[in-house]
Amino acid sequence: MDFGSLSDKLKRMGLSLGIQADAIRTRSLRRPIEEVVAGRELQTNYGSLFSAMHEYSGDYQLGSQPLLPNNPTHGIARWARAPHLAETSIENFIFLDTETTGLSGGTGTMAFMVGVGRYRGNSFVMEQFFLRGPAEEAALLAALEAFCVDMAAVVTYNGKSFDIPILNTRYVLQGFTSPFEELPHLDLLHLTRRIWKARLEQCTLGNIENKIFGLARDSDEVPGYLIPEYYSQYLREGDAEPLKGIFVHNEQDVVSLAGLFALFTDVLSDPAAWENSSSQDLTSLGRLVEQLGDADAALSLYEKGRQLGNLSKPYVEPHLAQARLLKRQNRLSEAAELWSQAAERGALEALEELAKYYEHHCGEPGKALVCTEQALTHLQNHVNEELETKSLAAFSHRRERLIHKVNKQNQRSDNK
Amino acid sequence: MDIDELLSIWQQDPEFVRNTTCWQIAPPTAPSFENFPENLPEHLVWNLTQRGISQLYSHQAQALEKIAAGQHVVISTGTASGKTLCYDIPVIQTLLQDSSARALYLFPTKALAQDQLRLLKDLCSAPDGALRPSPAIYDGDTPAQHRPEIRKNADIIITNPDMLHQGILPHHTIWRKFFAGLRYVVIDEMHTYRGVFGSHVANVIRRLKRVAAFYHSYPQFILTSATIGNPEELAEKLIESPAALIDVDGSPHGRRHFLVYNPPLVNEQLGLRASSLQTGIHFTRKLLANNFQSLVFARSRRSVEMILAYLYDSLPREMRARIRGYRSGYLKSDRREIEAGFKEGSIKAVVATSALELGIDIGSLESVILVGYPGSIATTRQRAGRAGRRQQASLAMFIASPEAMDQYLANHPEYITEKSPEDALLDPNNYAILMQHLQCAAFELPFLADDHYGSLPADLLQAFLGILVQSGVLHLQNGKYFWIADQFAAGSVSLRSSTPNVITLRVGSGDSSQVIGEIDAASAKWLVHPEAIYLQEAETYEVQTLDLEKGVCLLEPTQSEYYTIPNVSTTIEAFMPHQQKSFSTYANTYGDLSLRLEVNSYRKIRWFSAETIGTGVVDLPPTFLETSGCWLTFTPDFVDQLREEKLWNADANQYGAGWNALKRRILMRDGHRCRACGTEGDDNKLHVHHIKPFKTFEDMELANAPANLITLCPSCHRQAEQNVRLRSGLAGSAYALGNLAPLLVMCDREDLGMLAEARSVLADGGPAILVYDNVPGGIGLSERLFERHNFWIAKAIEMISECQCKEGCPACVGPIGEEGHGGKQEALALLSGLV
Repeated sequence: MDFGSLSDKLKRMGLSLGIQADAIRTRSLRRPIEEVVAGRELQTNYGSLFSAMHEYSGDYQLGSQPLLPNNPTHGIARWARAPHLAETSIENFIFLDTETTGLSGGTGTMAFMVGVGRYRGNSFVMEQFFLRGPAEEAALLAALEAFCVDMAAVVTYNGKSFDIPILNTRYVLQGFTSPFEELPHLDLLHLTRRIWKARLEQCTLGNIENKIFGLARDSDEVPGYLIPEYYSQYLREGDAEPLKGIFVHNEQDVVSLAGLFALFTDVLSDPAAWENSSSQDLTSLGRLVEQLGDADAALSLYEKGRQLGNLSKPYVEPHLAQARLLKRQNRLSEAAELWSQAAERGALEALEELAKYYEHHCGEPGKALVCTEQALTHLQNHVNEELETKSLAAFSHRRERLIHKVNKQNQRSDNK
Repeated sequence: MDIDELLSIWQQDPEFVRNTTCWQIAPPTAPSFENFPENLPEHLVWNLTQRGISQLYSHQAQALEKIAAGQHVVISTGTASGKTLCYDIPVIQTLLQDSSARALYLFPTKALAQDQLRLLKDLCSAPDGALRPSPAIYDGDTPAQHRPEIRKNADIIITNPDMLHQGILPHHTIWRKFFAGLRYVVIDEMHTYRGVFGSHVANVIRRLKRVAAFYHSYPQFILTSATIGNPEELAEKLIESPAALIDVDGSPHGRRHFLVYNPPLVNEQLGLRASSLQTGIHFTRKLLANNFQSLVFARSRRSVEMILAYLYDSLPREMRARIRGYRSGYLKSDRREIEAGFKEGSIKAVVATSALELGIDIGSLESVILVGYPGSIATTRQRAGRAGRRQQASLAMFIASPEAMDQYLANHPEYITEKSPEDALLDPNNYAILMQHLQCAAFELPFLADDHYGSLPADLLQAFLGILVQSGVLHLQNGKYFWIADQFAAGSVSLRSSTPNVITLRVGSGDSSQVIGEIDAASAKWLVHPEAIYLQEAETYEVQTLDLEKGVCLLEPTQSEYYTIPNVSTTIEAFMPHQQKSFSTYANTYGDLSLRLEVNSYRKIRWFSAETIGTGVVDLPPTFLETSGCWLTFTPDFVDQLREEKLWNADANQYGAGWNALKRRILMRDGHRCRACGTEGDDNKLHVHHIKPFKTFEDMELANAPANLITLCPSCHRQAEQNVRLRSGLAGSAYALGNLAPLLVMCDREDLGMLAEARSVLADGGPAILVYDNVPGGIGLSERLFERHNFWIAKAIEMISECQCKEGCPACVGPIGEEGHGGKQEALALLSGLV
């Protein structure tokens, strides 16, 4: 009896084996990458690979955003908790973005393309290293390391959890030492989230370009989730034409990364001077610089944020943030002023703080009771949220206590 | 009073003596001590002394010696004999001497890992309070923020095979220091790695060795096992290297009584026995009345609850709090409280399921009662081994249920007390399992064109890799196979099922539903068909729905009084013999099979009595199973001989008072002619035949229903009867062989499929009995049965001939009253012709 081939047998055992062989088309056109993308074959001690180079002049603009920073890096170095980077030449920051064979990570994910860029004099140069096949990986890693000569820090977008661990793994697997191990790493996604998460729905690099730089991406680029599939198809079928879009996408990402770096470098070098008309952005930046220890800049950002605050919406974040900082500085009467403003817009935190302020600082439980009543009235109109049910209980408790205190005070004054 | 005295009182009861089929007394043994090796680090000696250990037992000393000599070692000594120190001492010693050395401990459960960590912390604590070496658990429960720290600093990593498979190996580069220093791999409770799970784990170990070799490490393996028939073989299958066996136990114990008690027959005709559950309760009460601490093991949660209820009934209120249940579903804190209470003596009795298994430390006990056979001899011995004080006498008692294996072991307790015949088997080269791990391995490190993978033949490896290239997950360039698929290979591979297609088991519905596990899609149709009773960790569930497309099965907890057995109709679509042994009356063949399996119906079987109490219908599409099997076929001469001699000498049936009148009516209905060949004739020359055998009916009227009667000529009648009897002989033999198979190969009942056919393609239309691995690709069970068929058949004959029933019962050839079962005499005649 016929048991057929090994693969038939495996199929009968119910093992699905990814793409079936018959689904692989034989392409009549098998254009090599050299015919599709402008670039060259690069020789290394570990073999050859394909590389595409680009250069941008110093006055290049990404929409409204210049590619080069105008200020020194001390601010961004402080954020990165790497003070020595303040003294480092801007040329030694490496901007990096990888394209990979998978999105899951682990030892089976390769970076088939690494785009890297750095400032050189008054321009920005970048190079894209590309694997024409996985066997060129040692060459890619060597070329990458050579590009990164004198590197002081690597700048990425989500590289802390993605690109750099993958590259480190690749270096280990090739028996090399990774140049990124123990190196300062500025993951601008983290900074972006701090500043824009409140305002933007997505903190993807593309969305930042669009909303912040006012730049629209080319339509011929490949959506990120399809990139692994395009590459494995290229390996199977040999036609590089569909990869064009990935080169464009990767180049754009590295350049935007530099633009974003320029933006943050400038903003963080003198945060209070940020020209920005969004109250939310200013408040978010205020919080960041407050955390970095620059209270004066934070106060001035909150101040600006309040002034710009959209009055049609009960936006009280800058008020609250500023008041919190003032309270910590023990400037309670100034804080109380801001709480009062926020309280007018129904901010529970402000009402609670005011109640505490009147009760403990001013010794006026009557006023505290008024604030508490206001908070309760507000809550009774919005009792559907769990958080608010909790504060309902807290405010009710506070009210009981205050009523008791006010009565006692009244008795005392009666007795006098 | 001690146990010896209590037993001498019981011994005066003739009923007790009659039902006790085995009473083994192991005399007390003195410890066999040896001194610590001279070079043990000071703080380790101090920590051991603090725990009251100032010398080693001989088996521990032997283990240390062999490990020091660089051998892989497998330790198979009794429960609570101190196996842990066999590896802890050498590991701690080496790791202290070499700060770059590392060790990996694998335990089958997270609970065991926690126990081990506590002990290791005691042994490693240095005078300055630091842990040297430093042990840590790294498993699914380890919080993400602690993981980098553990990877960086721990010298001993304690984990389980699943975590190693999905959480460590695919990320080996961030463990490079650990792998580069890896000196020891400890595999505890090795016997749990058998069958499908074991075949997966053997592949995980192949991958571990491959990754370690990448960092130039070739670790030494230390394995421990409960007593099984083949510890060396299993160890060697798992690690693919020979391992030195240490099985002479040097630990001391007091006198040990091991009893097998078979509740008496109450109905010989049906083979019904007194309830094992009630018998268990009876003895537990007696032990409690005499103030002995007892551990009672039952097979299901329901049994635990029944035993508890009966015990509570007869006890004063203040005693009830001192008797506790222990099963899955209890909170961790409750479990810890019960364990502690039992250890210090405030709890007098615990009634437990398998939840209290595998090394959970409750100290040693005076008495253990096993109500029903737990499914393997290794488990029986592990549980019985819970009884055993260092000084005083102890008692372990196995109470047999009416099921076939219980009854066989009640008659052959030597398999429990002496040499265990059961082999733990696995097959790392099972195609279905192998294929999944080759992908994981390729993800971890690229294969080379001249590479090898465990014991897999090089050409087969290249063939598999070729298929993976074709299917687009690997890319071959310059003689290297690169993983290029956008998948995390290990993510879709579960170590508990043979194929990646799994059915998720859910309890409850909507948002409150909870996943309790998953099973192979391949076996779902017979394990969780609608209305099936599904058991997991001794909890019973009834299947509500099975959605094969979505891969979801909905379960409802139940306390049903029955369990279910599917009736699987099996069609052999193709077969390919690999090995054959021929004898004068039969041939035994091992080979590959292509089967079509269909679950059409199921039977409801009452717990404890094993009676069939109902049936149900199932409507599911067929399953195709590629597997291996072993089949017995019989020579035509032997079949004729059976027809002529053995099968015709049964007593005539009594068909009832109205039989003659009924017979005349049927003859008239059929036109006084044989319905098979058409022969016409005189009524005295024609016979009326029961299509479904008369004796399979309990109700005579149903047996004599006209639809079950047919007119046949004497010659056709003879043939029809012969075929019926041959069929029941075949079916009865298959039932006995199937039920006995777990005595030879450690497996669950559903891991093996049985088929008895009167006209089989396996025998060119002649009769055949087939046993096959119920796992895609097979995992070596039927292969081992093929190899040991003489022993297997001989044991089946013993099982049937020693059974006290008359015509067949659930304990031998299957219950009467089922089509195709029964036929004790016929089965015996068939099997006896084979030896």
